[in-house]
Amino acid sequence: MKTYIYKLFAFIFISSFILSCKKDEALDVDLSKLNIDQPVANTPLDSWLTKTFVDEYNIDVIYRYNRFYHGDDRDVAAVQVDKVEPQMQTVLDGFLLPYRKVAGVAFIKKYSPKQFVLFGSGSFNPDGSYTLATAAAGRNITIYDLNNFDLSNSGTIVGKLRTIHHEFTHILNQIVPMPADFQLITKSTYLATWTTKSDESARADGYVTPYASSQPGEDFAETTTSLLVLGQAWYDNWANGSTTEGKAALKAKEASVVQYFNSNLNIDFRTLQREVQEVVRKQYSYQEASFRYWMGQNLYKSITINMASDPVYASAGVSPAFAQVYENVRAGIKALPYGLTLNFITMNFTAADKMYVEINFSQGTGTFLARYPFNVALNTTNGQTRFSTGTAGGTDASWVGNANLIRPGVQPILTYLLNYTFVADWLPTNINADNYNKYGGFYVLGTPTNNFYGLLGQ
Amino acid sequence: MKKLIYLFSILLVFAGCKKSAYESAFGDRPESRTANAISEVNTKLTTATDGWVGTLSTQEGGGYGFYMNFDATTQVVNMYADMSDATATVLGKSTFRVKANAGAELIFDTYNYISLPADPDPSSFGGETGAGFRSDVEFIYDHSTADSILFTGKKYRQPLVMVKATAAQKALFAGGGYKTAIDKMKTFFQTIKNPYIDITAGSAALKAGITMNASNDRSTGKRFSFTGLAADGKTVGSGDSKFAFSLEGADLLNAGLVYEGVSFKKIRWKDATTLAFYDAAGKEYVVKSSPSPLLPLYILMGAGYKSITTPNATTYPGWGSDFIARRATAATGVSRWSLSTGSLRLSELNFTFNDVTKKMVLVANTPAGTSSFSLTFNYTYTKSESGVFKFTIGTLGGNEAAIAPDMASLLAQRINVDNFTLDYFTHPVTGATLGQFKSIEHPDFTFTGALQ
Repeated sequence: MKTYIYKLFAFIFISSFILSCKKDEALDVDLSKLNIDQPVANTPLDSWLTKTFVDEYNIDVIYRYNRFYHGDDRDVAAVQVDKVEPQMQTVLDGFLLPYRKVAGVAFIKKYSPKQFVLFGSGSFNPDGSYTLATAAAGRNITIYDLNNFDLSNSGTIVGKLRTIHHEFTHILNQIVPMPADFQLITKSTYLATWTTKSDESARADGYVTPYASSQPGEDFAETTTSLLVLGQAWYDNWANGSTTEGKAALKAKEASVVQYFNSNLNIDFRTLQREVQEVVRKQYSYQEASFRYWMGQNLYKSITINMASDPVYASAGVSPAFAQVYENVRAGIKALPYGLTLNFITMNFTAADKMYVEINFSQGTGTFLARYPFNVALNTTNGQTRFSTGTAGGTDASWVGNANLIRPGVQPILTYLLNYTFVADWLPTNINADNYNKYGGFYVLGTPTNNFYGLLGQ
Repeated sequence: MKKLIYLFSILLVFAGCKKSAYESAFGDRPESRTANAISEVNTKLTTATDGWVGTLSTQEGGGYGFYMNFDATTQVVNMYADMSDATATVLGKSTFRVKANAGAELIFDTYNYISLPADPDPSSFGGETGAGFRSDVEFIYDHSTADSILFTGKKYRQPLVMVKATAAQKALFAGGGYKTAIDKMKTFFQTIKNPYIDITAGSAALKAGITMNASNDRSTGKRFSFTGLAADGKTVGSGDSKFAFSLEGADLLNAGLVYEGVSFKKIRWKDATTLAFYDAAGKEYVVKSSPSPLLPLYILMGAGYKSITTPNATTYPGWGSDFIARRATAATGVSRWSLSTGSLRLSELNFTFNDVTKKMVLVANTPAGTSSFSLTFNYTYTKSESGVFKFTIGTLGGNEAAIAPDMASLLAQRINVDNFTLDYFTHPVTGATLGQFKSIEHPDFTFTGALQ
C-alpha cells in the first residue's frame, strides 16, 4: 500500500513537473505592424486612382512593384509611373464604362476585377514568349508590358484593351460557365502547342488567333475579345478569308458568344460591342476599325440605298441634300415616257478602286437594271474619296441599253457623285445597336451634313 | 506516511514553474523591431540631403554607378546612372519604399535606371530574354556606417553600396559632370596605345595590359581586364572585374580586380592627364602606354586576336619579295577560272586561328566580276613553345581541289610546308598594328595583314 501511494505521488509529481513547465502562451504580436508595407500614396496619380477606381468600383490598382504578384520564379520589371494613368484610363473608357452602361452599375461594381496589378515588362515564359496579362480567381487582373504602352499608337492601346477584355471574359466564364455547344464547334483541332500554329492555319481551322486554338476557354475569350475590340468588320473579314468550314465555325462561335451574353448573362452583346467600338473608333482612332480601312480592303462589296422601304432612313434620318438628289432620280425616272419606277440604288464595289452604280427599276411586273461605272480613288488614311467616270463592265442591256435609256433620270446622282470629294465613314452616326456595323457611306468633305449611306453587303 | 504526503505536496509546489512575463531574446517586441529597422533605413536614406553615390554589380552583366537622392514624404527617388549618356545627364524620377522582409528591404518600386539591368525584356537594355543582366530592384539592408549604407540584392545577391555624397558632388551630378567624367575616361582608353601598369610579383617585374570595355554587353561590358605574361615568361595571366564609373574615375566592384595576387580596387585621375590604379592597400600604379602590344602575337593569335587578313593588293608594307612574286603567280593561275560573271580574281587572304582546337582556316577571296566567290582551306597546326607554327592542310573541297594547283606557289610550296613565326608589324604610314607571317626557311616569304 505504502509503495503504491509512494508511486502514485511520484507519478503525480513527475507529471506535474513536466506539464506545469510547458509555457504555451502565444506571443501577442500585432501583425498589422509586423509586416509593414504601406507605400505612401499622396501623389495626384494616387488620388485619381482612389477616386476613380477604389471609391467607384472598389478596384485596387497596384502599380508599385511587389514580387509577390508575379511570382519568384520570374524576373519582371516595375512599371514606369507615367504609364499608369494612360493605361488605367483605357481600362475605364474601353472596359469599365461600356460594361457599366450596358450591363448596369450593379453588375460592373459587383463583377469587375477588384485588383489590377501593373508591371512594366512582359512576364517571360521559358520558351521566350511572354505573358501579357493573367486573370485569377475572378478577382485579379495582372497586366504586364506596360512600359511599351504608347498612347499615340492606337495599336498598342487596342492590344491592351484586348488583353483586358480577354481576361474579363475568363472572369465572366468563372461566374457563368461558357456554353457547352461552343466547346464542340472545333473540338477536334484544339492543340496545347499553339505557339507552333500560324495565323493562317488558325484562320483556316476557324480560330481568331493561334492562341484561341489552345483550348475552348481561350478560344471563347479570344472570340469575344475580337468581336468587342477589333470589331465586327474585322471578324467578318477574318471569317471571309477562312475556309468554308472555318468560316462556318467562326460564325457559329460568334452566334454562341452573342447567345451567351444575351441569355446567360443578360447583357445585350450588340450594344456592348457598339459601346466598345465607339471608344476604339472615336477615342483611339484605330485605323483598322475605320470604314475607310475596310473599304480599302474591299471588305464591303455593296452599299444599297433604298429610301422607299428601308426603315433605317426613317429612324436615323437622311441628309436633305442627298434626299433631294434621290428624289430627283426617282422623279426623273418616273417622268420618262416608259412607265418606270425606281426600286433602289446600289453602289457595287467590285474592287477597292472600282465601283458601279446600279439602278434597280420596274416596268409593270418586270424588274430591270441599269449600270454606270466609276473609278474610285480612296485614301485609306483619311478616307477622302473621289469618284470618276469609269469603263463599262460589259455590253449587255444593263450597261448599254437600259443605262442609256434612263440616263436622263439617273443623271442627278451621277453628277452628285462626280461633283464632290467625299469621306468614307461609318454612317449614320446615330445608328442603333442592331444595325451597328451594317451601314456605311460617304459625306462631303467639310460638310458632314451632306451625306449618303446604305446597307452594307459583303 | 503523512510526512511523505507533505513532502510530495511541497515538492509539487516547487514543481510548478513561475510563469514570468514574456522576455524577448532581442530586448524588444518583434513589431517594434521591424518598425525600427524600417525607420532606421528610411531615415538614413532620406536625411542625406546631398544624396548618395552608389555602385551595383549585376550577376551576369557588368557593374553600374549611380547617384541617388531619396525624399521621405513622397517616397520619390531621383537618380543618375552610368548606363548611357542619357542616364548620366537626365534625372530619372521614380518611387521607392522600405518594407519589412528579413529586416528592412529597399525596393525601387517603379521604373528607373536601376531597373534597366533587371529588365527581362532585351529590347529595353539588352541582356538575356527573361532575365536581363540578372539584377535586382529589391535590396535587403545589410549594415551601415556613419557615411555609407550597404544592401544585398534580394534574388541575385549582388551588393549595392552607397556612400553619402558631398554638396560638391551633388552639384557636379546635377550639372552633367557625370557624363563629362565618363567621357574623359573613355577617351583616355580610346586614345592611349597598349595601356599597361607595372606590377611587381615576387621578384619579377611584370606588365599588365589593360582593357576597358565600357559597353553594356552582358558578358563583356562594364568590365576592366588585365592580361600579361606571367613571371615564367610563357603563361598568360589574366584577371577582370566589373566596374562602375564615378565622378573621380571608376570603382572596381566586389573583390576588385585580382591579378598576380594584387587586388585592385579603384581607378583615379592622378592629375589632369594621368590615370592610376590603386590596390586594396592604397598603392598607386600609374597607367603607361607601350608602343607595341605587351604579349607576343604567337600567344594572342587565336585567343585575343582571331585573324590576319591580307589586303587586296599586289604589294604592301611587310610583304617580302618572294611573297609578292608568288602571290602574283597565284593570281595569274586563279584567273584561268571563270564564272558567268567573269574570271576569278585573287583578292584578300583571311587566316583565322583557333588556339584551343589548333585549327587555322584560310579563306581566299576570289570574286568573279560582281559575284562573290571564295575558297576555304582548312588547316591544323602545331605551335612550339617559342612560337614556331607548322600548318598541315586538311581535305580539300571540290573547288579548292581544282584550283589549288594554280595557287601552289603560295600553298603547296610555302604555307603548307614551311615553318612560320608570327609577329607584330607597324604600318609605316598609318601606324596601325598589323600581323606578320614570316617563313623560317624562306626569309623573303613574309606577308602582313590586318589584325582582328
